[in-house]
Amino acid sequence: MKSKFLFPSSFRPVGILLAIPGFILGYLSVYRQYAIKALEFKIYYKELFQDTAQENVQNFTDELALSLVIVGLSFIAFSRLKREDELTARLRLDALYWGMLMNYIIYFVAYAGCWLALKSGITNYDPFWGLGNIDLLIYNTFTPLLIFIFRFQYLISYKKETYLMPKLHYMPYYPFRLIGKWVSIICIGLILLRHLEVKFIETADQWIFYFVFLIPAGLLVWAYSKNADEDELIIQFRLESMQLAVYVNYGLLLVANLIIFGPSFYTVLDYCFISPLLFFVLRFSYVCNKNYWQVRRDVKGGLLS
Amino acid sequence: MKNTIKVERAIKNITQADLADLIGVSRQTINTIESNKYVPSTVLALKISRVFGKPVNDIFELDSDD
Repeated sequence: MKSKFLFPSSFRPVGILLAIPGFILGYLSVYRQYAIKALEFKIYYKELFQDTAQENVQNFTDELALSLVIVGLSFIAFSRLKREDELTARLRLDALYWGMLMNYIIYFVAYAGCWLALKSGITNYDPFWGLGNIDLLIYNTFTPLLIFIFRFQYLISYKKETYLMPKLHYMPYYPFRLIGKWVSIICIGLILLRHLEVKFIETADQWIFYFVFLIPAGLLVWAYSKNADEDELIIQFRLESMQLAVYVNYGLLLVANLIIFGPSFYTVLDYCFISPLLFFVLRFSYVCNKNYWQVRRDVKGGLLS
Repeated sequence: MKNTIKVERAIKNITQADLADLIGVSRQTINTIESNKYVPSTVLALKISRVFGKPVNDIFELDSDD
């Protein structure tokens, strides 16, 4: 396995220099209401409680902070090691796959905790999307990268003379793949219908939020269950797809960060919670099926015809 | 998969670091392969066999649970 899609190793210190000020600026901007005056611009968009889009003053301090953090962490996470080889490439992808799972598990626990707190009246935070608890959604923009960086560093530098090689575990194909696949497809379908404002679905708004919550769960089971024909090649497709998914996800998030403002950006954060998994299952299913049809065609062309 | 890299290194009198430099991987990678924790790619196995001047089959051997 060759290392694909990596930055040169000189990007790592640059990444640290970008991420640290990014985190400090982000903290000041979110928790201390700090704003850089020079980053204030008038922009035409729809603010919360406004019926139509109009000219609003938008400060770009938080946008700058998020961009610095994402670009910085991506540089640290995806720059080459001084001696990059097939095993370090493999460890990097393993760590990414593991980190993504851990990230989701942490958020599921956090959301469950918020939900219990809400039910027992400790807080009036609603943990479901678009209804509050924006902190968790903001943290989710960078924690997958952060968890991955620590995991990868741990694997390559825990022992001086050797690398740690933990085995990745997947759920069995049956019945988990089927459950994951159909739960995600049905829930995504329902959410799409709701966006298209189908009458029947609108009446069911109360429970639709529970379906929103089921999407990442379904996708997670889909992504972490074995294929029917799991082998070395499939594992490679799997790991590469996860890396691509993370790239696409952060690329889109950076663009969205700069062009979408106000309450619409919270919707972006909602989508950000499922998008890495969604990109992953789409890309992974695509390469696996492409491979399947290729093999079938080759067999037909070579042996049967 | 089992391998005899350690023995071959002893015969040729080279360290893990020397072997790593010869085939362009890190020293830790050689160590991880020697301790049977990582199965190298065919390309890497062929590079190792070229260093020792022996066929791949003489250096790498399938284990009973492979």
